This record gives sequence, structure tokens and C-alpha cells, in this order.
Amino acid sequence: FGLAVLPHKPENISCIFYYRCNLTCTWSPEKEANDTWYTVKRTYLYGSENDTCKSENRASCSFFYPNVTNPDICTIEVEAQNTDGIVKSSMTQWNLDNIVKTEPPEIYCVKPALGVKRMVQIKWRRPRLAPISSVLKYTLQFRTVNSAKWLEVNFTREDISIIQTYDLTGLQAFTEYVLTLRCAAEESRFWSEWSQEKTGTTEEQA
Amino acid sequence: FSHTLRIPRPDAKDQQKIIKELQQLSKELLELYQKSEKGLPESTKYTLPCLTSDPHPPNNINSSAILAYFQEIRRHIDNKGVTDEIIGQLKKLKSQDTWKIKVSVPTESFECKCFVLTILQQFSKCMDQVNEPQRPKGQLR
Repeated sequence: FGLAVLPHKPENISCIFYYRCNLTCTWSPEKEANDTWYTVKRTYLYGSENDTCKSENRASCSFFYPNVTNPDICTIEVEAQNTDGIVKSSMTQWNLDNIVKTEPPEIYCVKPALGVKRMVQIKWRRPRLAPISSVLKYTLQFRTVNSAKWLEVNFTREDISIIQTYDLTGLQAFTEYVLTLRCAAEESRFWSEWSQEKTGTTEEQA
Repeated sequence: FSHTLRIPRPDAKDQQKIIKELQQLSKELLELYQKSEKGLPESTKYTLPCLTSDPHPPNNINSSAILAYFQEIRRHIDNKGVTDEIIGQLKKLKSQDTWKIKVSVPTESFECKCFVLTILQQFSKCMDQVNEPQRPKGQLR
């Protein structure tokens, strides 16, 4: 008779929440020698409801809208099963506001402020995956076109309007700048990717 | 489910976030319903309970009554996603020991649509009202 080879205990569980889309969890090991079925058990609505997600030979599973809403505190437990038996992960707890990730903001306009020297105004769209109830933190990176050195400024926005603006001051006059922006929900550990770079030029010194 | 972790109910900050999400969702669902059911008159025959006598959030919102209304009108609304989102958020605010109230929805089709529209309109106003910054006592509206 053959030696029983249980699946490895699922570990390093990591979850990311995409607002009004899904909650996706991954774990290790990514691969097992034998066919392995996973059952991810979740509680949500602050522990008052529960559901499961199943995957086969893939160390990842997603729970979908509308049963994923923030704010919420979920628990996640992963059960790995093969023909020789079942192994459970330890119980993990997730505050969705700490693991929400948005798409990058979209800068659509960088222009000098008329009559105001050494300043440009940046306009961008608030990311769709940014929760309505979240304050957003931003990092704006900028450099002159002929420099490789990025400078950066951080700020927050509580306002939920789709169009957002920021006045970047203290620049050199009549100079072209490259800018890029990223954001995150204030309590989240996940930043968005950087936005596409945009250029803009400050006004001429009179 | 083998569970050792006891999850606390939403704290004040999360309750405020839930209300912000509900405010946005209430507008979205009302807009969607008005688009799909054009020309429905507003009705004054129906009233959605909004606030309780308890001034302190979240008990000031009659979330269990509102939840009962949404669970009843759910099958009369095409957009199940936003409706289920609202139901989920209301469940978070609802305290555990509340009675489930009985909601009767008109059976006649047109009257039923007027009922649903009225509930969605009143819910949107209710969320705006709840979300208004707390006015110092004595200051008139």
C-alpha cells in the first residue's frame, strides 16, 4: 500500500479587496504534487454570515460582489484536500478597509495657472474602485523633463467628486515637468499602481 | 464553521462609513429604478420608517424596519446587485435583538411599482437626513 501524502498546510494567506468587485485571497504553496481541492471558508458582515469559495489546483479564490461590501471584518480559513486527507490553515481576520486596492488615478490635465508663476494645476479622475466612504491618500511624483530625479508630495482628499485637482507650487518658471500620481484608501496598506505620466509647463517669468 | 474569532460589531467610525455607502447606494438605486419605470407618480400613501426615538447612532436609524422593507421589495427590483448591497449594509447596522416587522407590498402591479418607487425615494431622503452633520442643539434648520 502507498504512503499517505497529505497536502501542505495552507499558509501566508494574503487577501486584497477590490471595491464593489471582489475579495481575492491567495496562499502558499502555489503548487502541490497531487490534485488538491481548496475550500475557503469566510465569515462576513462582522461575523453574522458565512459562505465558501472553492478552487482546484489553484492557490487562489475570490468572493464576489454584492456579497463583499465595505466596511467589514471578514475571517478566512483555507482547507486543502487531496485523496489522502484534509489540512486546514489557521484562521485569519481581515478588515477590508486595510486591504482595499484601487486602480491608478487618471491624470487628464496639467496646465499652468494663469497669472501664477512657477505653479501648475493637475486635474484627475477619482478612481472608480476607491470606496465612497474612504478618505484617499495620494503621492504625486514630478521631475523636470531633462532630470532623472523624482521629487514627491503627499496629500489626502476626503471629497468624493469625480474630478479632483491639486496645485503644485514652488516649480521653476517656464519649465516642462513630468508628473505621475498614485493613491490608496487612507487605512489601506495597498497603493494603486502609478498613473500614466503626464507633462505640463509652467508659465514664463514676466 | 469552526470559528474561534469573535468579531466586534461595527464601531462608530465604521457605522459612519456604512451610512456614507448607503447614501450613495440609495441615490444609485433610485436613479436606476426611475430610469426603468418612467412616469410613475410619487405616492403619499406609504411611509418608510427612517429614524427611531434613540438619538444615538446607529440606533437612531430604524435599520431593521428599513431592512424588512428592502427584503420585501427586492423581488420587484431588477437591479439585484445594488439591492443586495443595501441589504448587506443594513444588516451591519441592525442590532441583533430586533423584531422583524411585517411589510405588505401591494399585489396590483401598478400600485406595487408606486410603492417601490416611494420606498426608494424615502430611503434616499432618509440617508441624506441621517448623513447631515449633527447640528448643535437649539440651532434651527
